[in-house]
Amino acid sequence: MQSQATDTEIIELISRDREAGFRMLTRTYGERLYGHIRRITVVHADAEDALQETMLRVFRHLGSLRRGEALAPWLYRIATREALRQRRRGITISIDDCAISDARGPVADEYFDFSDLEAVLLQQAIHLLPPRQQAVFNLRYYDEFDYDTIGTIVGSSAAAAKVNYHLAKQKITAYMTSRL
Amino acid sequence: MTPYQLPERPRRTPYRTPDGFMADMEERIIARATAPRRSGRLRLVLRATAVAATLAAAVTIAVSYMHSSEPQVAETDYIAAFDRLSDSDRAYLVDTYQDDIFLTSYQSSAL
Repeated sequence: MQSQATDTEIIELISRDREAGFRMLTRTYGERLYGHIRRITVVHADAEDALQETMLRVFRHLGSLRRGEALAPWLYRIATREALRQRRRGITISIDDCAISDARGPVADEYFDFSDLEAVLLQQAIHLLPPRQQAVFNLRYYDEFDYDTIGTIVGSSAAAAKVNYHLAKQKITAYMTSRL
Repeated sequence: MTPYQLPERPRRTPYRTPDGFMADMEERIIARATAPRRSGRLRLVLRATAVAATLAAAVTIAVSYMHSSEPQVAETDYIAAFDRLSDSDRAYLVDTYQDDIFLTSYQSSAL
């Protein structure tokens, strides 16, 4: 997890030199945000577009940052929204619409490693979950956020995030057990 | 059957990126983010134009209905309806139609 001190450094640098601060922010969070977006969009080109839109949006709102503010929830909220928006261009789906499940599993593109069967199956299992459960599971399992932060990112309570994570984990375990 | 256990670290994914992707992305983002944007005044003019274009479109529809079907709706009803929209709905209309070449062309020729 990004420490509060580093976030403070970034925000202070932004207040002195907007571009230098933004570069520091991009270097600190860019790769993690890409990973988060890619787990939602699956395809590299879509993740690239969504990351670019995310960072542009971030840049335009740098002035609203306050000293002591945690950057990760804010950045991930924007990234999640942009990733879902990018994915919606192909299929109708919303993080708020838990009834709709995206059955699109990992698809072949140049930047997809099919040799790791377990990792591929795990992504397929995750993509069978409702969107909110997908987001919560990814944020907990891969990004290791606490439930309060996850709730802030996906717009729910911490308790709801916890329930969603455990439901997601149960479904994934059942899927993986039946296939491995 | 033994239940599957989610792997602990490293938590692998099958997703890969091209070499140098993040460095390249950083430069592209900086270039786009620091490129000069439209001035605030120009954006305001564009938004106002878009609102006018939306109204013009509403009037056009109203006129075509007046000649083609019942019940007829007065032009003022459309304007009043637009006035009753919330700020966010108006902003949505503006965002949606401000770059619509047909609506803005109509508005320009109508003025």
